[in-house]
Amino acid sequence: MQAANSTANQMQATDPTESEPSADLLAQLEAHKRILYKVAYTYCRDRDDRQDLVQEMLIQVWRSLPRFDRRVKFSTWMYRIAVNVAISHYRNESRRIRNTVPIDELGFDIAAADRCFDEDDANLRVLRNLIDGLDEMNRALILLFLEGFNAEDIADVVGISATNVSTRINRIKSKLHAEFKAA
Amino acid sequence: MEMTLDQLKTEWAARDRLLQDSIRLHGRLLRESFVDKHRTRMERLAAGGNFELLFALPFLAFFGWFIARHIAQPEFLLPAVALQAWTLVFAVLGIQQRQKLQNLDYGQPVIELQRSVERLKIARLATFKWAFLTGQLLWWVPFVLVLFKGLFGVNLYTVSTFMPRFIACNILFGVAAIPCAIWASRRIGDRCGGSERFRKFTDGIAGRDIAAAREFLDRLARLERGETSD
Repeated sequence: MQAANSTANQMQATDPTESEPSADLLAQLEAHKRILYKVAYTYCRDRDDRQDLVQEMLIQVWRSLPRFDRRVKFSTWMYRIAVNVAISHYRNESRRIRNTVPIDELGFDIAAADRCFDEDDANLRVLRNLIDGLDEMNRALILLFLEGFNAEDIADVVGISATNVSTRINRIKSKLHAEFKAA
Repeated sequence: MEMTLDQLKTEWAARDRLLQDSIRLHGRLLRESFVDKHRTRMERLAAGGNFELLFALPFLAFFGWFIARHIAQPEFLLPAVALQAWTLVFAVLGIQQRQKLQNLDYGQPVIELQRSVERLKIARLATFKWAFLTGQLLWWVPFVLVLFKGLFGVNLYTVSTFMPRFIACNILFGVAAIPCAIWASRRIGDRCGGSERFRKFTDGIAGRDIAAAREFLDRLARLERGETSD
């Protein structure tokens, strides 16, 4: 029964007449576009790499749209895809899809986004240093924490328990505190 | 001044508000780009390309034909069957792994997807390693024997009295080369600062990449259990 519901939910995600995503899903994608940049910022220091990564994420999101299960929140699903692609990219596992679809054609202006995260700012440099000192899984946790997700929501994206999430976030807080003390 | 994570969160939220106005991404442009302008590229990406099959088919046809013609000659049948089995096994494994990679659902929770990716990576690396190590044995003397007999009708066993010994020595050398290649790639990989591609190749043969992938799987398991990894 559950399997049947799941299939039905996934079917709703696509227009039955064509294999393209429905208009409301495209609108959701547009509404949550910032997720892609913020995840890319968390995993890539280099601007060109960030551009490649956003492109990979967009293509993966597009390809996964027909499988979107409406029981999951769209933002949760999009974070999962973005973080999964970013970790694969970070671990050098993703297939290189450079220039498959030029990102500027999609109106996604990386340079403009970069200006918002200008690292001349001291606070952002602190944040950047903190992120750079974390491994790929802890980066996902800290990103979701910064995004204002609670432990349950983070657990939903990452796939670990909420208690585990809280413990890890506290450890990262302590690490940051220790780093300031040492400095 | 000490910054806390909660203060950084406020800073992050301020940047996020700026980002909202800076990034443009239009569903219409996405649709036009992915569906109309770059449809072929997207389809190619989705299909992944069955290069293994394209490579394997002519060889499978040739070895199949050869086996049928030399069924009663074990000295030719054996190398041809070994080559046929090698080609078939590694083509099927390659296609299966590519399909699994294509079918990965990136919308799964991070731990689940990363675990699937890493398991697939281990399978892919092991396939490459054993395809190379057994390939250097089969695609030299056995292949030349089958090729000369099949295409030119030349029986290399009888070309000279020295030939059977030469063939036997080559096969023994090929078998001995398997552990030697693993040992050498472990030694060379550590010391050779050469190209990234060569280092990746030696890592693949030495099994270092597999060890790294297993280490990541362990790290994921520890994360899931709530144990510290750092």
